Amino acid sequence: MNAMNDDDDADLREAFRALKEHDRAHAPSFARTRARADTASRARARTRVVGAFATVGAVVLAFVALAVLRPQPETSPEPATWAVLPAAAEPLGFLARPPTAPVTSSERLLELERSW
Amino acid sequence: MTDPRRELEREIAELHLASFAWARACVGDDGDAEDVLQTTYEKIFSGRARFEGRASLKTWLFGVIRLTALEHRRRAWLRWVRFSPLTHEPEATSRAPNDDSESIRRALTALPERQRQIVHLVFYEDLTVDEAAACLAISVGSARVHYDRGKKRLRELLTESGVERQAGEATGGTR
Repeated sequence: MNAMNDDDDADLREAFRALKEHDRAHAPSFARTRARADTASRARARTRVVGAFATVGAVVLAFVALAVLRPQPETSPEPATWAVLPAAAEPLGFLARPPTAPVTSSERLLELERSW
Repeated sequence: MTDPRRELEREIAELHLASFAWARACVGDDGDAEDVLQTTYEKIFSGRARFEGRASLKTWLFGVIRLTALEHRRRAWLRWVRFSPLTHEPEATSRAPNDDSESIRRALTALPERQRQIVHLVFYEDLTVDEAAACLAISVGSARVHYDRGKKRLRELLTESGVERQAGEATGGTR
């Protein structure tokens, strides 16, 4: 069925003809719409670039903030702890000594008394 | 050898008026139609929508406009600017209220979307109902139902606004 062959619709065709004429006179031009599309396209690209930079900047800033604000470990360890560490590092060191060497501090004192 | 991009732009420029009218049939008013057409051109010329020659350029272009209009309406709905163009009162214009084109525009805006689209394709684009059904990707039977209802309702609305009588006089009283 083709509406163009339907004579009953002449009134509607006439109304649409008026609409077409109005559009010819008032519709925005192709150049204008195309220019607006280009502007919108550029704005969209710019927004994407700015968004990418902002994201990268935020990540870098977060890393810097983490590094700066992270709680630091204590910088003044107890000297006594460090002093006993060498001894503690070799708990079986006495095994390397000669069998006649005094093992305990009291034995060492006895040895000294004997030598007097 | 012609630049295919320039050739496409030239063909789209030739279809601009029909595209604008179709965009208006999809969204309801001139302002939204221009926004939809702008987005459509942006899609086409940035390569987001590509013509692959499966249908005629006009059918493809109208399809892109229809989908863009759907996105536009969805966004508008989400923003709560308005629920739907169908319930939206046309903006006041400087044209006289008894202007024929203004009356038909108002009447078309009052039609349900599908009826408005099919009536537009048949009477504005001079397509057959079968071609309009293909353009809208709906069955011919469904298109005929929308076409008959749309035509009937449009006549009622035009009668209310007094345009039909004027149109009848202009065409020599064919009805």
